[in-house]
Amino acid sequence: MQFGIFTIADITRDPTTGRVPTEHERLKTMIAEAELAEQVGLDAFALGEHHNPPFVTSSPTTTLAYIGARTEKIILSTATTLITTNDPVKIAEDYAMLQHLTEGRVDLVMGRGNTGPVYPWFGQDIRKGLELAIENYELLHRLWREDVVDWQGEFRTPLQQFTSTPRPLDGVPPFVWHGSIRSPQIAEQAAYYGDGFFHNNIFWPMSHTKQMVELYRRRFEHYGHGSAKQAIVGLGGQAFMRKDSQAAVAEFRPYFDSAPVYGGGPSLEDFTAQTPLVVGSPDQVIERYLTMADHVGDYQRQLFLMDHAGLPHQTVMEQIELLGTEVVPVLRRELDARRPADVPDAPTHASLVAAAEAERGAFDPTYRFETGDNWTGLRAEDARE
Amino acid sequence: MMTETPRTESPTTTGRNVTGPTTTGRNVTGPTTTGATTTAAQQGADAAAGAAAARPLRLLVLAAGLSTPSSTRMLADMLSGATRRALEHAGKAVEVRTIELREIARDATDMLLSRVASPRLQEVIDALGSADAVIAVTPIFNTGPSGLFKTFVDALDTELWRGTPVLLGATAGTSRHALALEHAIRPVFVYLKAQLVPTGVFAASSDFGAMQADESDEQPLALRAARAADELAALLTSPAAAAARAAAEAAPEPSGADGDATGLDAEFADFTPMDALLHRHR
Repeated sequence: MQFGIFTIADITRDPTTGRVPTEHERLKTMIAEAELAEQVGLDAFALGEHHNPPFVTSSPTTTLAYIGARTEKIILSTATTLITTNDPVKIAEDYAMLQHLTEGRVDLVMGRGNTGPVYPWFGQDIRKGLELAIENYELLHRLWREDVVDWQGEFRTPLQQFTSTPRPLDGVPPFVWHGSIRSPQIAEQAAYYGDGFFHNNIFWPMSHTKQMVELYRRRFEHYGHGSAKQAIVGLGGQAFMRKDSQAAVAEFRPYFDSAPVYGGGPSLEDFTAQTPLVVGSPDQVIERYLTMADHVGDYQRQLFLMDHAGLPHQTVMEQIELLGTEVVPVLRRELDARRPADVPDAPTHASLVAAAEAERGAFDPTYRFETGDNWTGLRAEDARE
Repeated sequence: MMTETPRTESPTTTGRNVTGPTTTGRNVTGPTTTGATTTAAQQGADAAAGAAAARPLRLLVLAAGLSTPSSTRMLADMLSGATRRALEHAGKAVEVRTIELREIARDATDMLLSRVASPRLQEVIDALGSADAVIAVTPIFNTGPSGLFKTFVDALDTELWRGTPVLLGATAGTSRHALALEHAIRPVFVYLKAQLVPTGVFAASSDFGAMQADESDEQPLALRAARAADELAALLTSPAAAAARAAAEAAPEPSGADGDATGLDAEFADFTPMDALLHRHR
């Protein structure tokens, strides 16, 4: 099973000091957090995508590539990649690049985005969100698997004889999870392709998460990718920990009460009772997160949100350290032990390459395209003649 | 405003179906076949219709008054009492449940802000989803429904009200506010596609005293309440309504494509199989 952290790169005021980080500081601390995550033994670091303040993650593959250069083992993932307002051609190119640069340490979670104005900023209509997610991913899926693509669809201009470069590393595209909180259509999409399904889980009651995952599992089996329990599931989570649980509550409360994401609505006590947020000791985090598999079945990836609500950088580093050294080793041991042998572990580039080899034979990386002079001739004037 | 709202009795994911008897495949408007054996489907539908006819109607009353006692609650009780009498007169038993919205005021606000429904609020949402009819009464504050009333409505899934028989009431200090019900409250429920009874009942403080025709220039409150209650009762006891309730009871749980949403809440059946969608895009 894989464990890790995710961030949405928010710039949030620390309510206890009034301080707001600069964009530069936020980026630097985020890199440090990813590096620490690898050092304490976490398997994955996922980065969100936003195109407006108060976020600083408009070019996720740039950031992930930088982190990739400064790490060796950690998987670089997303939370999430906008499959609606990004051009699928650009997604195909950017993430295949990242694959090559990091020797395959990349996967991604497709999301539709939760910021309305992003659609018109990028020339799309939010009312077509689901259609976009479906059509765009269909194109992306093909771009990674077919060397030459002819394409016509509703949402971007047609492609004639298009090759997305670079071709995926070892002939195997990055693994894709589809992220959805509310829409069963996305669970259906994930199941259709045999891709993974990622449920954020953190602000929603488990009664809902569990049904969405169950639907995805049943449809995964329906489409012949394996039995329902063999489907690939990931969950989000969040925690704030101190050795002493009362100290954790006292320290986190001002952050909880002021954080935009908690809405100034339910109290910390109500929120921790009704959602996966745990504020307390590492043991309490372990106890709660051991129960997730009871609801969604044996799953493959658990990510934690640790760096939000304006928490100072030092505090976040302490949280990551506690997560990696005290919580995850126990969760990993217990959850791996309960997972039956016929339920797969989380996919990695290596496991996907092995599966592809078993099915198609070894991959031949020889360059398949014409080399030579196809980069001097194109001028706009030539097209008119 | 999307919420996690299990819909327990709808044959479709869009809420109550009161449009007609066709959902059971059984013709309730034309002559039934004579001398022919009833099919198993028809027997099932008959049994469901019987079951639906046998159970008491569920009337949910929502009162947005802020004080105890409150004239809003008094009007709500008057309307539910009159509706109960009208239904019992038509031979229908009714279970009435009255909810004071101020008791879930914070839960409704939390729902708006965080999209998390507390167990208490979820219970009210479930009651609304399974109600056969709703009486909703609010004080008029500043020419419109009270913030508490509107917060409650705004916090819920808009689909919850679709097709629901609704009787509206409102209170205020003087009768100068009477048409606020028609201008500021009725449009909300028209937008929500509720089945509104034509008569909305407004009560000014003075109306609670004017119980005799010769004590008020206007039609007394009791008569207006009775008229509205009769309209609601007629809606609930019409053959179409009875057949729709029977259809809802008889309808199989929404099961999604290939039955894969069986046993899950209705909203999880709301997807199109990918084969159909991708074929569309080709």
